[in-house]
Amino acid sequence: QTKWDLPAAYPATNFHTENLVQFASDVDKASGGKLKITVHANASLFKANEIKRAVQGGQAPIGEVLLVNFENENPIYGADGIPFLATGYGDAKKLAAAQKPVLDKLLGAQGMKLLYTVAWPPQGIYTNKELNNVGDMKGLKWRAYSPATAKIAELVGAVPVTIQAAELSQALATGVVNSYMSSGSTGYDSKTYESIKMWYDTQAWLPKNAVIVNTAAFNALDKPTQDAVLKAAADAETRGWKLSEEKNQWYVNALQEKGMKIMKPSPQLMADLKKVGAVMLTEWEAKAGPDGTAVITNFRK
Amino acid sequence: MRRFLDRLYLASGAVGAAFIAFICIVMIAQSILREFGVRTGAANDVVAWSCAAASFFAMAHAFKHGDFVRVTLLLEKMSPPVRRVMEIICLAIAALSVGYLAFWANKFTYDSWRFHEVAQGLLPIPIWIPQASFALGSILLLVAVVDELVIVIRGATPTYVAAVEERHAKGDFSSDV
Amino acid sequence: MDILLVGGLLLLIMMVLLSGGVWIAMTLAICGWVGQAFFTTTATGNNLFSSFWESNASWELAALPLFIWMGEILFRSKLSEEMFEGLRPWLNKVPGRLMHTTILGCGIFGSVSGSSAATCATISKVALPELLKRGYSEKITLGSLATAGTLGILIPPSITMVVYAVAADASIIRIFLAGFLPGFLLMALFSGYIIWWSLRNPDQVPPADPPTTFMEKIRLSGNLIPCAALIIFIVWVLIAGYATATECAAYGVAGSLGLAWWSKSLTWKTFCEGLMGTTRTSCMIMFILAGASFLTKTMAFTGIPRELAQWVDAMHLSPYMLITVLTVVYLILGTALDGISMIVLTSAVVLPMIQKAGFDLIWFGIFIVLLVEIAEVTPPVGFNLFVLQNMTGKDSNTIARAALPFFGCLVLCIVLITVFPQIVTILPDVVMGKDK
Ligand code: NA
Ligand code: NA
Repeated sequence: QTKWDLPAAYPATNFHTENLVQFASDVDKASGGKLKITVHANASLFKANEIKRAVQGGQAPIGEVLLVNFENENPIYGADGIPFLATGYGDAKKLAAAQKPVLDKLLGAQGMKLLYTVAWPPQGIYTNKELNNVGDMKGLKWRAYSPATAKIAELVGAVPVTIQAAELSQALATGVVNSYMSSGSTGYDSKTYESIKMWYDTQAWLPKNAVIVNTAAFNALDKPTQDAVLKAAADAETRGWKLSEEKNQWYVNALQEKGMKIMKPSPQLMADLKKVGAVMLTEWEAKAGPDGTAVITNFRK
Repeated sequence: MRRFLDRLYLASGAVGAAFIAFICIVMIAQSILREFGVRTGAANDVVAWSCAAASFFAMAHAFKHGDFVRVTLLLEKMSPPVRRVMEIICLAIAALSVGYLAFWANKFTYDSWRFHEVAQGLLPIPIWIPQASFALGSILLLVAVVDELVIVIRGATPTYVAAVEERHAKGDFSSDV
Repeated sequence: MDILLVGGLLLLIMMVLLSGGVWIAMTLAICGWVGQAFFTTTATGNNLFSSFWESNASWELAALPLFIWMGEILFRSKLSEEMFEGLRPWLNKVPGRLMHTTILGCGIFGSVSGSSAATCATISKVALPELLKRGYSEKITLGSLATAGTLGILIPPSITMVVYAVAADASIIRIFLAGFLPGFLLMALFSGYIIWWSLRNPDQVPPADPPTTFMEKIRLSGNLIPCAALIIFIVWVLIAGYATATECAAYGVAGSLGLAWWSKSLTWKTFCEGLMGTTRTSCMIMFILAGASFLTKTMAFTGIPRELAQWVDAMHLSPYMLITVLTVVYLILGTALDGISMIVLTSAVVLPMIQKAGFDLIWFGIFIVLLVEIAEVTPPVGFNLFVLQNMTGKDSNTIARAALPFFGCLVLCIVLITVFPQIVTILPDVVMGKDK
């Protein structure tokens, strides 16, 4: 019998974690109890940023990471973080398929293997100011929590403010920040509705979580167990994407119930934002090289 | 040699102190600058790394100065010769474990350099640069522990014991939380 | 090997090393190493690095050295003298008179300092000679100073709370907010005891100071301005949205430096001493946190806390029973350990149990802080006892006996917050909304 510890960064109630727990139980059943996976939720085993290195270094045989977190290391990881490249679940799935071969190659070179990816709900803009075009975003105190969100702030003339997730509610309440870009779930979990009244459903991008496994640990399993893992992973992927879409709708409704206005962005605002996205895509392609071009070409096919 | 080592520990403590002052300055600067719309995105990463550096660099100094807490209840009840033997055993255990720590601190940092690991977040510098504070600090602590072991084996009172006694005799409890 | 047996083995190693005098942080890490190297298949060396790095390279933790520094600066300033002068004229008519300056002084100083020993030392420095000179009972004075000094860690900011929040992965601001009401409650209990005692022993309370005119009272109260200004400044920076809660700690340092400079107690020498002291103290705490973080990883990899929680669960202890058992355990630990070590030693095992029993982590944080306060005044190891022993030359056991009635107030406070947990949770819930 083999035991695997699976570090994950999100709370036990998050749908990604629930999906992982289901995955673990599927593996247990399909392998006839030969592989037991324990899910350690809420960054209790490793912090979000350390999980990839932990899997790489054999500290944990398997782990769940947010891919865009590693875009500094290689832009390919950040392909699903380019704003307005793939909006909506259909596009996001296509992008995931286009990104997969390159990810496999990249992770393979680092002694890891990609099991499956599941998207987060699409990103919108939380703000108290009505936005008719990008010019209205000038001067917003904008929470920047990643290179991409910082770049957007720069391009639209907002003031990027770095606030840790733990301080977000308080920073919103006191006005240290008054806008940010995230999914409906973040807004609900951090009680953004208490201080911010509008969410522009821009569907800017759908970042993905990926479950990765250490190749050596995977190869140490016997063939039937390996197959059980792969089968459970494929199921988890299908289930996860469906869950994500359902949750998205649930969160949007829940936000509305809490008094948040869900805004459909005006055509002008969308056109402006797409221009911002185009600038960032060009920059990304320049950094990502031929692999990046391949991802985009495959995606647009 | 003695003077060089003592100065080394003090200097490493001072480097740690400088990082704490730096944290304070960065935090205030960040909150003021953002009122003027200046981009200060990387400040949070810098603060986190400074926090680590402050702690790691100061380890040797804090150890020597007697600030690392331990239970001395039993030790104080022992006769001086027994106490001396126990101090030697404690220091030998400490030297072993800090040696292990220093080895892995340096190996991991070296791997970060070898694998070209880059910091995540808004300041994409090679991660071995901030991690070097741990690698260096743990070596300094190892030097301090071995130094102390030699001192006690030679028959003197441990520096960390003398320092605490002297401080408390002066009525200074400022370093007890 | 049975997992709980592994847990027992680790506990045994820990007790041998600790009582033998091995440094606490190293003891924790050694136990962590034994557990991982012999009972798991993970990469132990890499985990050692990760634990130390993750726990110390933390933006949340950066507030810790700053809060310590703030206390160090104020400790070396004239703040306590001024506070005594400002409080004195108002307490002449209250039964117990100036004895209440110890409680109020510790409460006010506690709201700018994060340490119990520093609060005790700062207030004792001024209040002790003044009270003894006027003929107040030495026993009550010593007892109240030793115990009220512990308000430093219950009333925010608090170093102990920061450490707990990091260990429990809970919100620092929530715990800070949760500390206010129990803090006031405890002050009321202390003062209540002093009033009750003075009414029963009127002969032992010296006569009032000559009455002061109202204008004179107002003039003397001016001495409270610097401290009030500092508190208002910090709260204003936070509420106005200029700084996040963590950044407030930096403003606290700036404000304290300004205050010390204004009262002419800031010299290059005191600045350096304060900063170096801060560096050593925070290094000590972060070193323990790092060792504990490695042990926590071992706990996660071996699954000991999970097993233990199930085992406790199987005993069907009622929540009150569990709290009673834990109280006894912490009281025993508290005789010999300092508060920080107590928290980090137990968090990996106790917190899962507590959550399983349905207790709120914020509430449990305040509960632990109260027990740490008790630990500060129980012999043989209690820092507040050492502080007063040093200042008066009295034996620490004598001081501990003097603190006994106030110790009772602390226990009563624990009972009250256990029966009425709202005392703890209402303020954070009102200010930040209910936690899910
Ligand atoms: Na305090
Ligand atoms: Na004690």
